[in-house]
Amino acid sequence: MQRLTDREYLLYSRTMLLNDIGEAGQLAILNSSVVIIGMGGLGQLVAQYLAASGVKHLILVDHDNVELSNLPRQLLYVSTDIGKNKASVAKRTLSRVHSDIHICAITEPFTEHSHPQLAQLITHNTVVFDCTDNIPSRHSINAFCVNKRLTLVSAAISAYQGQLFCLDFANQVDGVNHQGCYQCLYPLDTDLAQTCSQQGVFGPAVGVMASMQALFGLQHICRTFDNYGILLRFDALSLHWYRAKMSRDPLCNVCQQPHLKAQNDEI
Amino acid sequence: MRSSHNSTTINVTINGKAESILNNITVSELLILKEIPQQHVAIVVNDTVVPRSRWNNIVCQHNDNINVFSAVAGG
Repeated sequence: MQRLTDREYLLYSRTMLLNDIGEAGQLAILNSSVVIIGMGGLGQLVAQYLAASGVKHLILVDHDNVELSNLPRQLLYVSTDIGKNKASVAKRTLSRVHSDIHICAITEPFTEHSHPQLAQLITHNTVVFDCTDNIPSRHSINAFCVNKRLTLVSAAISAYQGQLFCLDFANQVDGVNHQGCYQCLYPLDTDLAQTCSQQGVFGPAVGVMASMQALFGLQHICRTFDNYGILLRFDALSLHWYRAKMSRDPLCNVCQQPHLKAQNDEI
Repeated sequence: MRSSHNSTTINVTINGKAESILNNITVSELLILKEIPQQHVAIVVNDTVVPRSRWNNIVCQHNDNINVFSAVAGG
């Protein structure tokens, strides 16, 4: 798409009024493609924001079904959706609300076995949103993004603690990854003190993290994002935000530089 | 950077709270003293994440600002 229709001018006028977005930014959004893995509390809201903002190509991945306990925070789903697959329900509902939208629903768990299938569905600038609820999936998504040189927008929340970051594996300073990857931050042997289902969570706190994730992604698509490699932590009780610069683990075997990997393989 | 601090304790900030800790201890040793399981957290020193593989090598310094980020994965 190279031009906006009259209706689109009106529809997206508030976004385009932002000086650094304008028509070019809105066109970038309309021409973008995204993958959202995990269609729970985070993913369902990210999907709604992106679709409403004009993203027309979405791949939604989730093998879970809608449950009664999801409804207070997963506002895309209603009680008649209980028992149905989340990705499929999201595809149906978003397709009904937004015209000219192309949604692919993948209803299987995301593992290393999913990588070839997903690789066939994406482009070189597809943005990946990690909205999953477990560490193994997060490692698998991270490896996929590193290997395919994609942009990863990752968020997580349990109880009152949310975390968020965006890493662009396609565009790195001097071709070198200084910021690391998810595995540099949380190595494979990381485990959680308690899971989300044990700790509980406030719906609006999930919404804060999902909104930030959508904001990061849209700013990246519009080329106005300037916080790659910054880890944000949100304390939903004290309402404080903390920032930290991410850094690469020199021993990480996922984002190791190709020439170093080759050297190590030879040893 | 290692300071030339010679006393037996140094002053650091941990999760926003001023504390005195033993001089010349590593990040790993600090976590053991604080009874924080290493597999549950990321460590931020002076606003930069320190990868876990470096925790045995990084010695806490006077006036370091240390933040412990608990791993979360819920969505």
